[in-house]
Formats: sequence, C-alpha cells, structure tokens
Amino acid sequence: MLVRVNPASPEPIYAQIASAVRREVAAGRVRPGERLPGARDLAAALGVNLHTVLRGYQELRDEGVVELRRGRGAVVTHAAPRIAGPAAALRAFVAEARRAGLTATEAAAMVREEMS
Amino acid sequence: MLVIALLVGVLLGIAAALVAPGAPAGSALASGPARGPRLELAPGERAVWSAWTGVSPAVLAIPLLALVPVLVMAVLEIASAYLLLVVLLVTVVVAGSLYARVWVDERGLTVRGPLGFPAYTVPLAEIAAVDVIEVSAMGEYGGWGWRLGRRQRFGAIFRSGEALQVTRGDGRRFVVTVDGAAEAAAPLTALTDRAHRLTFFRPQGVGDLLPGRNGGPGRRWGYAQVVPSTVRRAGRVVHRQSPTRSTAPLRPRPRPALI
Repeated sequence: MLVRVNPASPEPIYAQIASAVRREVAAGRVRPGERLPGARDLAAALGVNLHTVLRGYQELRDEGVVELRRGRGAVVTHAAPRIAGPAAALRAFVAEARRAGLTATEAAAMVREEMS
Repeated sequence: MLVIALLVGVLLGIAAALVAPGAPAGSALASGPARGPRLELAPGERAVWSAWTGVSPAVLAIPLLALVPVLVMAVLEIASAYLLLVVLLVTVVVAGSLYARVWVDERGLTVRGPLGFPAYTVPLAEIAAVDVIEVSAMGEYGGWGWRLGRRQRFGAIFRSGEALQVTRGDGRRFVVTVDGAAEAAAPLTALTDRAHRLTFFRPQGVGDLLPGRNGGPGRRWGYAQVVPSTVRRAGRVVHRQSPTRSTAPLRPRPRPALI
C-alpha cells in the first residue's frame, strides 16, 4: 500500500491518507481481509501525528471501506472494492457541490436523478 | 529431532542477523542517483509503502507440527512442563520470524516481525540500487525465514518468487520476498535519490559561518550532501585530527571557586 502525503497541498493530511487507501483498494492492490498498517507505525513512517492517521482511518470506516476493531486494527471490508471508487468520486462531487453553493438536499436529489 | 532442528535453525537465524549488519560502518554508503524504477515526488512530499508478508500456511505447519510430540509427551507425563514451556516459546519465536511487515519510508527499507524482532533496516543513505528480482527460497537460501544467501546476500525469505532487493554501496544485498515489490521499488528509489541529493544548508547562527566550527570551512550557505548522523560525527572527528587546523574543542574555563 502506497501512501503519499504532501503537506503543501490544500487537502488536509488525514484526507490525503484516506484517499490514498481508497485508491489502493479501488486498484485492487489492497484486498478485502487485508490489515492496514497500524496507525502508530504509519504515523511514525509518514512523520505525522497519530491522530491524523486515526482520523483518516475513521473516515474510511464511516464509508465502510475498513472495519476498525480493537486490537486488530483496520481491516479492509469485503464491500470495500465496490465502495472505494465511488467514495473517492463522491468526495470530489461534494467539494464541487459545496463550491457551487448547493444544499445537501439538492446534491442528493441530483445523485438520485442521475442514478434513476 | 525436529525440535533440535528447529533450535539449530533459530540459532543459525540469530547468527545470520548478527553477522549480516556487522560490516565496517560507512563503507556501505552510496552516493548519486540510485538505480531502479522511480516515482516522481514533489519537494516536501512524503511517501510510505507498506505491506504484510509471510510464509504460506503449509510452511507455518512445520514448527506447529514439531510441537505435537512434546504436547503428547507432556500429556502422558513423560516430558516436564518446563520442556513444554521452552518448546512453546521457541515455536512462538520461530513462527514470529516467518512473518513480517515491510516498510519503505524516510528511514529506508525496514522489515520487522510481528514480535518486533527480527527487524532489519537498510538506511536510504546506504542504498545504491533497488531491484525487483525472482528468488528461489530452497535453491538460493535453503529454506524460509531470515537467511544468509550466497554472494553477500541477506534475506527475509518467506516464499519463492517476487522479491525486493536493495544493494548497498559496498555490494552487500538485502532481499525481502513481498507481493507488489515493483510498487515498493518506485517510492524507495525516489526517496533514496532525494536522500542522496544535495540539500540546502542554512546557517543557524554566526558560529556556523566561522571556519573550523560546526563542520568547518567546507560548510557554506548553500547546498551540502546529506549524510547520516553517524557519518557526520565520524567526519567531525577526522576534521579535528587534521594537522593543518587547530579545531580542538574549547575547554570550559575553570570556574573561580566561590568563597
């Protein structure tokens, strides 16, 4: 799993970590059932705060890409390969919708319309 | 017999770990761009690659099977509980040396077992080349685990097939079998290049600009080669011994006794 973090980027570091994992899962380089590196170790390797990595992992858990288990760390879910690609695209869509000043309801309506 | 064989294996492994990093310090240093596939990194960008690697369940079964006769003997009260304990401990250590997490980051290439040992790091400053190779566990290393191979090779060998190999400046090699070795090689080469490249030296105070202090007259405002701290220390020692320049450390003036 490759994680690239650029502190000069306007994207927050935790979001860069989460999107790196999403990209690896969507590309099939990280498979369901695989354990992500421990947050403490990854934080040390990246030279970032432990809580930054944990926040990135939590974002992935909220999307259903990983499961966080006490003592077992972050494990990639079986649904992850299906979710990771759209979840990444969704981030871009939401950012664009925010910039355009759309409300959550309007944005959701657009998605529903597009998918029906 | 199996237990003895395992013990011998563990001892050999420990010996291998002791022998492999024992070359003279500094000689392994590499300079210039490393050979290998590379990734484009923006200035200040950090890249980390990590993967879990280990033996197949069939290989893990070997140390576990070795436990069986001792278990049976313990149940039949032929063997003492202490023997069982020792054998259990050995089995855990052996099993732990059959798995590892591989890290590619600012510190170099690191392979670390789940117990925290064995662990081995090749610092970026020592890497001269990064290669993706094919290994044969039995043919080249005579088995699985942490092993010495022929031609200055030291390896964390968990299976045959795809492996990541780094070559040091002095020709010594470290090999680890891991899936996605090509994906690991690209950031490792890029990080190595960056570590070998010239970095900007900014004087921190007047002392840095004075000749003979803090690295001496060679250090000017500008670009300087990054070297690991140990070598930098060694460099200072050599500099102090130079007959042309007196750079003996300033001794603190003896304090007048307080009355």
